[in-house]
Amino acid sequence: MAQPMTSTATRLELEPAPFDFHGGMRLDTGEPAPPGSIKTIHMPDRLYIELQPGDRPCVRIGTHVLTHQRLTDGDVPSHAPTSGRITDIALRPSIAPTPGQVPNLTLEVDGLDEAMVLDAIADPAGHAPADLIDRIRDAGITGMGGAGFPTHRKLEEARRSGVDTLIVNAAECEPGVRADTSLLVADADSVVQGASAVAAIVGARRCLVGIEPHNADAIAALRAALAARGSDEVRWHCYGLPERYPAGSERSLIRSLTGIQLRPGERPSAQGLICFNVATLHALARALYFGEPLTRRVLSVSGEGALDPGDHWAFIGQPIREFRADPRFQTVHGGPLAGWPVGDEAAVAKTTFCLHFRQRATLSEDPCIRCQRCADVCPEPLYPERLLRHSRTLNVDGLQRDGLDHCVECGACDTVCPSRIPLLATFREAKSSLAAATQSTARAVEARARSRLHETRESARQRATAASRQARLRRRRATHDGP
Amino acid sequence: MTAPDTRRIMCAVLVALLPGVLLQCYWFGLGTLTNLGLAVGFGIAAEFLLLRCRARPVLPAIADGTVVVTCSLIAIALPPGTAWPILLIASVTALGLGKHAYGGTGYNLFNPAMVGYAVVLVSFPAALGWPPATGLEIDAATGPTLLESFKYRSAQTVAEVWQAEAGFGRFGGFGVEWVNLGYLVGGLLLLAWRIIDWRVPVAMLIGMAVIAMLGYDGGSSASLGSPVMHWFSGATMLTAFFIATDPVTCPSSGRGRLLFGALIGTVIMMIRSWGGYPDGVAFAVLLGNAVAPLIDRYIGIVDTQRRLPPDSVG
Repeated sequence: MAQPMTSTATRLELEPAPFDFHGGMRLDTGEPAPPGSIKTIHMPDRLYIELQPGDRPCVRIGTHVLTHQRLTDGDVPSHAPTSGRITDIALRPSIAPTPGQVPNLTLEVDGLDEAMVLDAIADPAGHAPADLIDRIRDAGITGMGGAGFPTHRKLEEARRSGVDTLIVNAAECEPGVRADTSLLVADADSVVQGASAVAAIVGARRCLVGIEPHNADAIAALRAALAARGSDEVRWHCYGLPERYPAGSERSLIRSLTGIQLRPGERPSAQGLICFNVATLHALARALYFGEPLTRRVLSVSGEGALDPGDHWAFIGQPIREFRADPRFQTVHGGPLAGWPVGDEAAVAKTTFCLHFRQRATLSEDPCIRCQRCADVCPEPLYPERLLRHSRTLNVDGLQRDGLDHCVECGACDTVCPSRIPLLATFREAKSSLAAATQSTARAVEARARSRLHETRESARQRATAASRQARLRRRRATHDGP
Repeated sequence: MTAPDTRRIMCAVLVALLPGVLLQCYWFGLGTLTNLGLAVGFGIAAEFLLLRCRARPVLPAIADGTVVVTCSLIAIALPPGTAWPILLIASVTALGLGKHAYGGTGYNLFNPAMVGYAVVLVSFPAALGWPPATGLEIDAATGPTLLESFKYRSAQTVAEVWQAEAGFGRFGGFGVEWVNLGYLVGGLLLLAWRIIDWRVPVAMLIGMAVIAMLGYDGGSSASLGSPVMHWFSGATMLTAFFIATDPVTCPSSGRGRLLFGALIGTVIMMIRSWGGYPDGVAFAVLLGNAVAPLIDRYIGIVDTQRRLPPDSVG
């Protein structure tokens, strides 16, 4: 690209993305509703804060906590969204795609919302990058677009491997989700501040923003924020993405903006890229400028069974059934395409960008007729039909050969399947059973190695004992046979 | 994008068959319609019994329309007014041996319609000769079909046999050329509706044309017919667009489908030119079906790797 490297050359107009990704599909979602104002939901009586593996609670049952007070120590700390009392630590259903129970802290809300004094800083530019990354970790920031990767680890990794391009994902992950758009319209300044801070931390010289061209309000807000920002050394480019699902998935986005196709499992930092979505940048800016930890997020509530459809500021830990109109509807965590059903007891997590409430499926699935419509829309691109056959028989070789680990779980295949086969759910299940099998194999190998070591040690000990016994015998014999 | 379900796909296939079927009725009489009624009736009855025997839900499997399509293809491929026992045997074999023996819809290795058709073709060869096309002139001359006269011509050049025989039309078999054109139109509809993949029919027709051109020596007595003659004779277009394109029994990768189509086209030409049958689409399709898993296994792997990012992307 031939623009000079100064901020004055920043292109504020929207250009079409220079590349494209494979497959995908146009979805007929009707007229997209204009992003409304973000609604604030009432404070619930209880919040359920999920503990991650490795988290140690730093509060006890009975502890009174203030708003924003840290609740756990660990890789990514959790904080109290409001003031109240910790009443319980108990197992509750997790919101992960594989059902299971995880420990949760129960916070009984006192309604006073007594806040701690936050440690705000006026200008992050004056601080060392390592210091800023520490602040981001202390604020408990993780990726908010779905995967939930700890942000401080991503930044450290990017600093280690060297990154020149920041990619801002301003596209929605799924049709019908408008959380990021609404957030941009409401507070694009913070998003741009967050992006500038990330660029400064990792040393990125250019920032590519991918956004859906039809989101005129968000584009206008973004342009205003870009025009108003202070001067920096970063070149900004705004690109309109292809209007096909899953344009907002990280790998498709990188492909559309840079032409780089990431290898399976490859992190963007290996290609000199770092990718953040709008919600994460917003939370990151709040953490840096106001010292505010991540305790609430914008999420879209959609579907026929939603109590109040639209975008909401929800507290981390808020029970999801409070967004549902009627228990007859099925709750889907994530968007309507790639989301997965969760139980009634689950609570909003940092990764919950959408809650979708739909009618439970009534039609049973038909046999696969191998029509390959799934292969036509797969963005990776794979042959989901083959993966389905391998998944049903848990054919490990076949799954590997046909690339199950390349599946980005976008659910495009599910949507086009004429036989209504739950492909995505089958693949998720196969992935988790493969992971479990690998884990147990690893454990078995480890155990075998340990037992072999033990045997070697044991036989060496026995040999040593036998040798010393014989030596003793010989000595004794020698003394007896002596003169 | 709306996702059509299996029933909608099957309905589209039936609609696309209409132009060819109507032309077939025009040229060969209404026997095709009795074939259709009987074969579909037998097929649904057989499917019902087979599903009951296998203790599977009956209604969804019959409602998805696959049985109707399978039996319609048999009915169209068999000569008009075929005796009902032959239709019964063909339908029952198609669904029993061709489909349910392999585990039902989606699991069959061979195209069920072609299994049923091939079984009755080898069992009752004498009863399955096609009558000459009559069109509206009911008492037109009787005689062999184009492919028969072409195959069993003795020492005649292409031009001579073309002039001598009543079975020849303007560019293909008399009457049959229009029926083929009807199925071509239906096939183009299926392509336009994105029901079938273009690769199989295109590769099959090109495969046939290549063999025909290789064997064409200017029209001597040993010469093969022209590509156009072969395209518009026998069951070429029906096979190319409606039979070989069955997704269950054809390879899944794009390149695999090209190879599969070319293979079927080549085998059809080999049977027509040097084999024991004047037409040979059923055997060619079954042979193609037999190697489809192999094509998937080898071409498929290469293709998957091509579709996946190469290691050198930087």
